[in-house]
Amino acid sequence: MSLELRVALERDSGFEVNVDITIATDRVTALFGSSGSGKSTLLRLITGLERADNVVVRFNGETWQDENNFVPPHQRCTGYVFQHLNLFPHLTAAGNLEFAEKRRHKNSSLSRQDVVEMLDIANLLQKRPDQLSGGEQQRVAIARALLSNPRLLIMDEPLGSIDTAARTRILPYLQRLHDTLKIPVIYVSHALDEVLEFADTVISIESGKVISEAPIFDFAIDGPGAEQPTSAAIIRCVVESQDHDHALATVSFEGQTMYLAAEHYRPGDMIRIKIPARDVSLTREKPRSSSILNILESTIAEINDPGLGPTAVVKVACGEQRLLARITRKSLIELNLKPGDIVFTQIKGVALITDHER
Amino acid sequence: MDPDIVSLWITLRLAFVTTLVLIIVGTPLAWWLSQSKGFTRNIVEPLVALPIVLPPTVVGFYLLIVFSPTSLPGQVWQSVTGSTLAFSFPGLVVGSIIYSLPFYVQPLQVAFSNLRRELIEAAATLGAGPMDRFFNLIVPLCRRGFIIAICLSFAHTVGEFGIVLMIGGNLPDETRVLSIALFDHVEALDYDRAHVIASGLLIFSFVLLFTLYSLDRQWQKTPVGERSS
Repeated sequence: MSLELRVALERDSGFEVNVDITIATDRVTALFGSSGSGKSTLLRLITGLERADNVVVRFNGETWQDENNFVPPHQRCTGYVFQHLNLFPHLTAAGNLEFAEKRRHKNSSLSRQDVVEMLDIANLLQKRPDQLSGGEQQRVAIARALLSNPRLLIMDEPLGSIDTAARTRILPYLQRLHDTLKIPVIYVSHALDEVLEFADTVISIESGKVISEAPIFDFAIDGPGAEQPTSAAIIRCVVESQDHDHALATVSFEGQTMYLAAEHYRPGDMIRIKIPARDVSLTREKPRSSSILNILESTIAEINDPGLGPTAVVKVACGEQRLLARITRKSLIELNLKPGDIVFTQIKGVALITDHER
Repeated sequence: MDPDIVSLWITLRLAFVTTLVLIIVGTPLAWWLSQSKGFTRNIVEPLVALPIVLPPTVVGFYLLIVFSPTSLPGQVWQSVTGSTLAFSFPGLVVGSIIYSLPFYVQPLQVAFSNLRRELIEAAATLGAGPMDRFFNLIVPLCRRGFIIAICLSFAHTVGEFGIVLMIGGNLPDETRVLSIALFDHVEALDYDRAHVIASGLLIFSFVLLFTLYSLDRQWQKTPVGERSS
């Protein structure tokens, strides 16, 4: 499954988009970049909401647009979740879902009940959009997009217009989608934390051009977001056993053992976790008695010392995988850290991302 | 039958037919004006608004010339129907459509321009084609604009005088609408009958506008399809 996208677009305002990519659409692909980088334009071209010259769009071998063809948006089967709250104001939440259901193209394996449960909106159905909070509206909007049985789900900054508290509540729903649905997703965001927690592949875009395309694990370490204060590593590990006495799961990570605050795992489960760079510290000697449970032996792979400011970012490798540590430049000098050195990586915070590493 | 009742009937028929034609012709025109940019649109927009500022007699005068059997439209009409457009009910309908056009098109054009584009785009990505989007999304979202447009064009046609006088004349069973009948009664110093028609038109117009404004206040409390950002 793939989406082929070739765009050579120049606006009178000087805004340019020049892209030639093939996106593997079996997973969640994030388009990451600052606002005005051309992400939304790409989405609009993919869905056909915008038509421009010199654009080729092909989805799984089917031509949606080239020099001679243009499939209108209502025939493309793309679910679109908009940045701004966008439910039909004259219909209830249930009415909005029905609108999508009536017009869907083929029989879907996804029933209304499934979608309502997945997004937890059963008690919102009889309300009108203006009686719902931003986060609630966006959950209904996602349900509406899913019910149209899209072949490709496109989300344009879906959390962009809701407040931080609502965002933290809605992210788990998105992760649940990611885990249970087979629909390929293209997710656009300028927020690093969302991309890290949701995407499998990240395409970074700047000034209308693709600057990198990488699996989430590499994007987290080497991508343009690695220097940001909210940067984090994304790693995969395997559950070994469940320690019910302490409500901890023991997981194996590159031959070493880690503990996670999690209770419902079976040995053998593959999980994906996020380790924020600011929760990671480095020591030369292995600490003997520490409240920190997770201490990994690792090798320094790369040091990003900006040369000014208080902090530097150190990339450390444990086997095949890498972590980020955000430490002070003072410590960097005092410990005399260099690439290739063996260090002990102490991890204070670990966030679980998905139950099913695919 | 009382000639005033005949006039009432002609007036209502005229207003009804005119409004119906305006819904069919004016709606796409309003949509086109609200969506397109460019030279043609910029020419058409003031043309549509012209009847608001022009004396009805000017519009009537030109229509009379166009309707005459010596002009092409007049000839075509005559060869098809066997009668002239001037001084006939169909001629009145044509005149009323032109004269009431801005009262139908303008409120609707405003409603269409205020529609949030993203709502229509959402409907498209959900699989709704252009006609589906129009009837199941745009019409309900713009219902306020539609009702105002329909009421105004209907009422305006009922109240029209100058154009009717120019192109319709005063044929008792064909073109004598209420406003003309009123004029006749006043000229004949028959004030009793004039009072009946004048007060009837006054009350009709007041009730219509009162209802319209009340509905409007109610809709503003529960905004339907208004631009929210």
